[in-house]
Amino acid sequence: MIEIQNLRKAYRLGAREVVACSVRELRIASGEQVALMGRSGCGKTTLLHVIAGIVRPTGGVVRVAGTDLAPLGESARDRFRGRHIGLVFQTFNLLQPFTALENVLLGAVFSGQADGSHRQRALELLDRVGLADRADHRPGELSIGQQQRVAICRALIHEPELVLADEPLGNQDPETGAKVLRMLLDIAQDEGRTVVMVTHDPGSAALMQRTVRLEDLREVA
Amino acid sequence: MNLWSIARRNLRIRVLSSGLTTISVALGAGLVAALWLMIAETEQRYRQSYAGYQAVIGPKEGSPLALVLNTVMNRGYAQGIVPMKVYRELHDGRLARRLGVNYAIPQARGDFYEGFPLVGTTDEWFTRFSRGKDESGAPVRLGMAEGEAWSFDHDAFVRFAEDKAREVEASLGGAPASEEDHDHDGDGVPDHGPGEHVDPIPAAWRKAVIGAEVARRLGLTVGGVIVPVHGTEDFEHLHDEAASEVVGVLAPTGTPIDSAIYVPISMFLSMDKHEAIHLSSPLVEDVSADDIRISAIVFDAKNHLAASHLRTEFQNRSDAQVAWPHVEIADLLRLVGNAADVLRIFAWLVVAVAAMGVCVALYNTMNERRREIAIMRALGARRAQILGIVVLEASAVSAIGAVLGVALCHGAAFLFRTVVLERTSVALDWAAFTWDEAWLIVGVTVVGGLAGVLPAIKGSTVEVADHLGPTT
Repeated sequence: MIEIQNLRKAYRLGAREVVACSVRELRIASGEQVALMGRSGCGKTTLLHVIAGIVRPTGGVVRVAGTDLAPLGESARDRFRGRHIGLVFQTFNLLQPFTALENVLLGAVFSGQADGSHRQRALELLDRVGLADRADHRPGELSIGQQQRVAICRALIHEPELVLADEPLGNQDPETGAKVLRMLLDIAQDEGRTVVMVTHDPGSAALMQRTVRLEDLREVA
Repeated sequence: MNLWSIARRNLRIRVLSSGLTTISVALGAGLVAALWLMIAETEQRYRQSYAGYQAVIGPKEGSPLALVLNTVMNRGYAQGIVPMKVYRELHDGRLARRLGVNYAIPQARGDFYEGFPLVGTTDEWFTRFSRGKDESGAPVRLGMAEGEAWSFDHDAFVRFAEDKAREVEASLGGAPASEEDHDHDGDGVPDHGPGEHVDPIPAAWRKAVIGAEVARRLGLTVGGVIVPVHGTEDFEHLHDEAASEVVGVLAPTGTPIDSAIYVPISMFLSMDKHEAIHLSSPLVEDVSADDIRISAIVFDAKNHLAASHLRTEFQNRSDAQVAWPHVEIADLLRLVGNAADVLRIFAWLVVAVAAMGVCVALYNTMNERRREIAIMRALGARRAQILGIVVLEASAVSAIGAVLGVALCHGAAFLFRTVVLERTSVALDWAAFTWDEAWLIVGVTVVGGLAGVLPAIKGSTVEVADHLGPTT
């Protein structure tokens, strides 16, 4: 599902170049559930953004679902992300003006595949995470845990091959967080989706099939 | 869910800002629509006004435009006099035969009642004048809403003119006019017997038919009395001797015909201090009916070639000129059109300012929307889709504003139709929607959409990674 070789993402700060992320090699198989760990600032989120096509690598090869993202233009990467990748953010990033159901449907709007069936799937997903009766509620009317479950549904609505989650448990208590994470992993497993999750929490990482420490992937300069 | 529903939701969440922007667009569009409505109604009214007036023959003095404005539009004053000789030539004389006259109707002007002009004419004004043809091809005459028209035909006018000529001739030292000569109303009975009080204007002539607008504005009906006034506000002469009974009210025509009072031309010329015959010199001895002075002649010919003959005929004459109402009014409209164009430009500037308002309002929201845009981008939205959402919002605000503006314009036309009619004589058709208004809505929507491009570009260039939340 994911093949990374000699990845390097650097930013210019005046005359100085700052390397935000560096990965010698990483392979994640299709359907695998992988935790990505590392100390703060080591580039976990940057790596996730590179895999999602949100940022373009400075060098190296990033192949996701058979597509090399590095040479793709921004629009093509957007389209690719919309079709093949689902994202779950640390701060959930639900849009306040929209209801839970509409927030979930937003994930399908930009996939370029939205049709009438997505509404049914959205309702099914909300039902599966126990929010069927909250479909018409706005994010402000939902608890933190409920908001995160909506975000998970949004990441899955368009049936992506890959789900990327960046500290998806956020500020939730460990018990609730673990419950929500299990929901995500159960659905992903049932539907054969690959999951890559950035986390600091060893407990959450323990729920995944494999844990990768970013420091271990560093390219030797 | 689609881009439109996202745009709609964004507008709803910023209801105050969206509402105020919509109102500013509505005011701009409403102003344009109101101007168009007024200009269209005015032009329509002017075009309708000259129906039935193929040509107007009037005094040599003054411009053709002044002649048309006075005769057709009831504006200004008569510029001079036309001798009756011209009228007789056009009515049943040499020119009438050559041109194939349909009607030639005399007008004498110069007096008013409550600001409305008195028009001395013959009853051919009611029986011959035609404002065009109806669907069956029959001529559209001036109808009566109430009462009936007075009678004073062409022959009576000729007899009156001949009597007047003899009176004047007698006063210059010729034979005294006989009692028979004073049978002004042509009923075969002298208007007064020997030793009786002489009523200078017979009762049979002191009758008036008023236009629909005169009746409405003055509340006059059949049986009412009008007393003509000669002169301006500074110097007025009340013609008590010509107090006339209203015998009929014309059906409304929506033209200046509604705003005049029609009396027998004999009554008009018999009023005190009205010089029916103007003598160029006291030494003149030979006075005839042809010297009776009138203000203008309304002319229409059966023969379409009459126009060129008429033009040729009056090019070289010193006693009268011909004016073409359709030409003069078209010129006038072109003149007014320039002013209207300036107003149109100003109205479009208001729309442009409103569009700037749309631009500024949306631009200012872009900073607070950066996170929302970044989230949509992260979900796979392309820059073009973000651009599309913002432009859709701008277009929607503009379209709603334009529709509201047009509705506002028609609502205002409905509310103020009476005031506008009284002050400008323009009858606003508040319920008539035009294609121009449909194009106005389209135009304002497009302009508003374009105004959304700048904020849309700003929105679409948001750096996604910078606004998704904390990094780990």
